Amino acid sequence: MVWIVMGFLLIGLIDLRPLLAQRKLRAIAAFLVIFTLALVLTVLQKMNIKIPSVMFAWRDLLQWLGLTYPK
Amino acid sequence: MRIDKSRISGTRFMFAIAFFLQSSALLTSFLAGITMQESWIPVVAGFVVCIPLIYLYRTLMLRFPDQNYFQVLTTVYGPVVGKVIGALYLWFFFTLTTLNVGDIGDFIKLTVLPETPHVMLTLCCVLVAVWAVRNGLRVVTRYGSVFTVIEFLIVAVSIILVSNQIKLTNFLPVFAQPAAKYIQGIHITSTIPIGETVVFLMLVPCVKKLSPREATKYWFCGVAMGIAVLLAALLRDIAVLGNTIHFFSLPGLVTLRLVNLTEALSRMEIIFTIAIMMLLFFKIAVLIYVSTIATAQLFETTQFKRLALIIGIFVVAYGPTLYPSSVEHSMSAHTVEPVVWTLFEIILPLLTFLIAKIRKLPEPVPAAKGQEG
Repeated sequence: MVWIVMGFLLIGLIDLRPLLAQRKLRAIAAFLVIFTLALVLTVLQKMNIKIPSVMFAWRDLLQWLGLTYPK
Repeated sequence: MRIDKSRISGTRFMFAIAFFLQSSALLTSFLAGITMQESWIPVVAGFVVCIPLIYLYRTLMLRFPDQNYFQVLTTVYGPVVGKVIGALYLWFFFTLTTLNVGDIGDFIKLTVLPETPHVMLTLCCVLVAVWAVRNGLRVVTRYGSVFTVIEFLIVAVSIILVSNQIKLTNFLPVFAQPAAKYIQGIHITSTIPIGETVVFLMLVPCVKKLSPREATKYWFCGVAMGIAVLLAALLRDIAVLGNTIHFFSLPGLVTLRLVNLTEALSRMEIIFTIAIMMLLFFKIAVLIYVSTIATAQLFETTQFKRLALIIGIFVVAYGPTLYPSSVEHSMSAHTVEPVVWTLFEIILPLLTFLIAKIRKLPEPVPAAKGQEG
């Protein structure tokens, strides 16, 4: 977990700090959205919490609609 | 707003398409699992079926020469609906990138570095790709032409090396499957390698202005070169492995393992391994570039270089959530992915083109006042 936090801090230092210095608000917003998603996914996986698959959601939806190929 | 200021020539664009398609050589097992020794039929038929699709991409490129695909969506559907569809495409680009990153991790782990953790393999690959992306499209596509030629040579040499193992009867029987299998195979070919070239619509503003004739030439030659290599590799594998081809997750690797001309010329699968790693790395670099440009476009910022690294890390983190194993991925590629991809690669581009045509978009730029009269 320490390595994960340190890794994300390093990424923040490399890319977020210059954006904050230049006050590029839209770029900061984009960075923070992706950063948060990546951090949450990494931490949840590190804690062995099962994350539902988006592709399985698509599979279930398409099966319900009868649009998939037979196995 | 132009995000990346770098420009590439039409020839480089063509080689990028060719190389992108060649990298699907790893995915021939998706087809082999369905149509077995007849897998060459869906590849040929898929290419023919996709001619109108490639023409559609080429037409969109010519109609909106200064806009990437997200800008086209905003022009055609308006700012709100355009952004919503753009967000869906962003998910599609991220997922495509993630699946390919997972593929290269699985492949390297299976063939060269079985002891190394999957996450380290994918992370190393992504970090190098991010480095290229931060330097713009010119760097990402720089070696496309060289690698395309190398891949041609590797496939040609491998065919010569396995020529003593080729049995033409391995192609038989032909047309022995139910029609539904061919349709499924053609659908997979149309969506998984060929339709994925929709990502190149995000690169349009970075390609030097092309005439309609040039655009047609570069799109079709690029796809044809990519499919030719894919087909040659598939024919080689079928000619050697016959109807056992569907037993293997990496038929190309198995075929090259069978090379045994002399003591020195054996264990040639390392050629295939290097070629596939090179191809997949290029594909991943292009996909990370596209995902980065798409994110920057959605947030209307030009600072794409500062987003590339975190997007690469997100791709690595997102990977394990998609499929628990490569078997699940393969199953999904047979049944679910072609249907989902159809929405992004065929339906939405076609709808976008039709609406642009009906609304006569893009509107002609009015002449400057000083030039009037």
